[in-house]
Amino acid sequence: MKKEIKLLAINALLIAFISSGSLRGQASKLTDPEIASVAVTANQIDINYAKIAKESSKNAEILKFATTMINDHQSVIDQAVALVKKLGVTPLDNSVSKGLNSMAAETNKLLRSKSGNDFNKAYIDNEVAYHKAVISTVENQLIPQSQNAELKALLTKVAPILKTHLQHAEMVQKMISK
Amino acid sequence: MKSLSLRMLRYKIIVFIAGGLVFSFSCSQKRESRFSKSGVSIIEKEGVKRKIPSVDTILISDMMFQPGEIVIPKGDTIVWINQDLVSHCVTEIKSKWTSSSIPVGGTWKKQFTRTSEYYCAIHPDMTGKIVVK
Repeated sequence: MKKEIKLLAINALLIAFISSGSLRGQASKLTDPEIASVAVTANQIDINYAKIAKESSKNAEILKFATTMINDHQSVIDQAVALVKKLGVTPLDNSVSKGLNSMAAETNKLLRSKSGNDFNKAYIDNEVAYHKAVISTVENQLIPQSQNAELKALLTKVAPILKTHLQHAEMVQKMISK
Repeated sequence: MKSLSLRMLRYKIIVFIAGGLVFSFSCSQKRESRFSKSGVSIIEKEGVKRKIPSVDTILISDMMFQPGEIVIPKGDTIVWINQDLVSHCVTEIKSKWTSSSIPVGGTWKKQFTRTSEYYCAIHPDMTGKIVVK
């Protein structure tokens, strides 16, 4: 129970951290290379969560959801990488992407400490919180701040994918809680 | 003057007879004509009109089937085109048929003889309907 509270607290911090960009110590404005790095990092983090789920869960709905996360987020990464290559942009690691990775490492550790239905619940609760956070970041920061039109268009097409994932996660969350 | 008007009269008679010959010739042949009415192609053969089944398109984009509901005549074919960033599928809700995974840029088609409600089994919130009239 204490670990679950800690997990939720980390997620809440994640949401606040991403939205404010406060670690940058200034008004949070990302360049296109930094935006590309954040986009790839955010997708990779969810793939890693899903891989833990595939190792740790036996629940059919969780496994199906995790497979979709791996396939969809990899597809987005592939197209983002193809676009930045075409544009001659090199993704630039920054405090936002580093912060995401740091918090993801904590979450991974917590997920690996769980098993059975405790794991299923922790995983799907994290997916709901994580997708809400990423949707907020994409809509309020990455899309408005991107300068290149094609990068902006790609991020705009990513937003509905994230929202569909959130709806799916909430549906699975209801099933798990029964 | 008289010869000119006679020539004109002869000319008109020739044209009239020639026109009549052409008309009767065309009537005696098996006639096949195509015309479109309200977007439906119809072929007429030996006096019988038959509808040519046509192809309609549904785009998969922004995690939606567009249009979400389409009304088509019996026998028409639907082509789904995946213009999204991720793979999708088209599966009838009663699981009678499925496209399996349609990759990004891929297409899948099916002919319809009855109304079907379908969804994307990968992303269950995505739904669509084919209404066959």
